Order: sequence, then C-alpha cells, then structure tokens
Amino acid sequence: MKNHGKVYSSIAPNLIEITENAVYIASNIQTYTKTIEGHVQSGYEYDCVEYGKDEYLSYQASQIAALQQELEAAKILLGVD
Amino acid sequence: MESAAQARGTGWHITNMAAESANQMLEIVEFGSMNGQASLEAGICNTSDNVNTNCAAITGSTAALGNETGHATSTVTEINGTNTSYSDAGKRAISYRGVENPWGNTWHMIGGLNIKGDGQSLGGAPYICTDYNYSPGLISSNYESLGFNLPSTYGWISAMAIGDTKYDWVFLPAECANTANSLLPVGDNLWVTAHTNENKILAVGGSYNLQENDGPFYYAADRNVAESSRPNYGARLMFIPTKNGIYTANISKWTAKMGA
Repeated sequence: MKNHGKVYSSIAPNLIEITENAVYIASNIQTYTKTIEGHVQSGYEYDCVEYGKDEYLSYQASQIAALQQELEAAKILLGVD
Repeated sequence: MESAAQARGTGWHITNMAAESANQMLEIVEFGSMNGQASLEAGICNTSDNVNTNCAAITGSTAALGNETGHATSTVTEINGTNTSYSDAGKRAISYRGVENPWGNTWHMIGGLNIKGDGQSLGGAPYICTDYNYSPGLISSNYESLGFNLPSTYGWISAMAIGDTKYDWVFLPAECANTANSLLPVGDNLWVTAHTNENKILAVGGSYNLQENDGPFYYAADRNVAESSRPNYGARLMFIPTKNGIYTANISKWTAKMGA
C-alpha cells in the first residue's frame, strides 16, 4: 500500500481506478481553484491510496471477513439465525 | 546566464537540454516512474512566494550525501535577512545522485533551448542550439527544430514528444489531457501560451512555491527573456571536460570498471 496523499486532477477521479497492475482508491474528493504566477489551475483534489492487485484482494478479503463478524454479532444481538 | 557561466573558465556552461535529458532518463530508469516527487520526495516547493524577494533555500545542505540520492537533514531558507531551518519534506533540499534540488527551489533555465512562437504552432515550436553560442529568445541560424510543437493547453502532462532522430533523447510534453493528474502518468505540469507570436525560453523543475506542480518534467515554456529575471528563476552550472589525456584515462578507467 502506498499513500500518495493529496492528488490534483483536472477531472473528477473514480472512487476506484483499476489498472493493469494497481488499484487506486480516491477519497475526500473536493474541487479547487488557485492562481499560481498568473496561471489559473482548477479541478479536483483528493486523497489517493495505491494497492497492488494482490494486495487489494487481500485487503478486500479482510474487509469482508470483518463485515461477516459484525453481521454475526448483530444476529446474536437481535436473536436471529 | 550562459555568459556568466562561461566567465568561470573553459568548459563551464549552464546546463543544456542534453544534460537535463540525461538526468531525466536516469531518474525514469531508477525510479521506474516519471513522477519524481512521488518517487524521491517533494523537494523545496512549499515556501510562500514573494515576487520581490528571493525565497529560495540556501544551497549545500545535501553535501553530506555526496553523490547519493536522498534528502538533507535540514535546510536553511533566508528571507529578508532572517534564517530559518526546516527539516520537513517540502522545505528541505533533495539530491539526485549529487545534483541538489533537481526540481523545486529555483527554476533552472535550459541553455540553448528556445520556443518559436509564430502564432500557428500550438504552444510553440522548440528549437535547440547546436553550439554554446546561445541567443535567448532568438531563433538564430545555429538553432535546429526538434520537429514537433508543444501543446496549446497547459496542465498536467499526459504524453511526451520525442524529437527527430537527431534529438530523440529530448523529452518535452506533447499533450496535457484531462486523463492526467499530479500523480500519473507524469505528475508534472506544463505552462505554455497558446498560439503565441512571441519567442519564449524554457525553464524546468519549478521553484520553492509551486507545490505539487514541481518535478523533473515541469516546464515553463511561456516566459520571455525579461520574465526570467524573476527571483525564482536561475540556472545550474555544468562543466564539460576537455578531451585531454586525463579525460581519456578516466573514461578508460570507468569503462573497465563497468565491464568488470
């Protein structure tokens, strides 16, 4: 996993961008406009985290397992099978 | 700037496109990416601008690295007589193989590279000087076309042009499309003037105030000669050794070492 921090783009990013080798996750997407030395720059700024594909599969599996645990706990609390 | 460099003695010049491209190619291979900021560090790019004052950091803070790639422990910036030491990324100097601040801190002019503006050629047509008799802003008879135009829109670089066969080692932007951002595929920006009628000069790397724009492929191709006198514009020295006995002996030594 590589946290790229703030990324700037002229178009709105996809929340998940899958390429041949990596998966990019965008969050906290906001628009921005700033003028630097007479150049107007506008677009979108967002936080970006990059995963390798295998790494992302592993991350997803752990997320699903955590959700399943929460679901089982909720079922017990609600008294349902 | 070239005159001042040559005044140091025989062999001294400001860096030209060949020197710049050599470092760019090394960085691409070594980093596996064109995004220098993401691969190494941001460089000095988070200092507020003041158009009347040079806000560049004092050079030399990476000396302890020798020819290693990395960053300074801390770097001093002097603004209006006050020295402040910074140790955080974005305000401390970086070094690529001994070249301090290859991007950020101060734009460096590329010697012998002019952009011809004829009103027709998108963002202008790059011309390169065939010797060290530079004429900034003028396309003299010792300048040759690279065979392509810069894009007419500025923004994040999405594609590079490669020069004609003779100059196929030149990397200059060919496209700034909406598919690019500050991360991919290049991570750097381009400034151009669309369909300009004025000849321009070329600077690279960005400066202390330009944040995520900075990087090894960040070009300012919209400045005329007068505008290069801004406080955040400068040049980098290089030395071309004379091909004497010492030079050939060192090359032979290096060749033998590389072949071992």
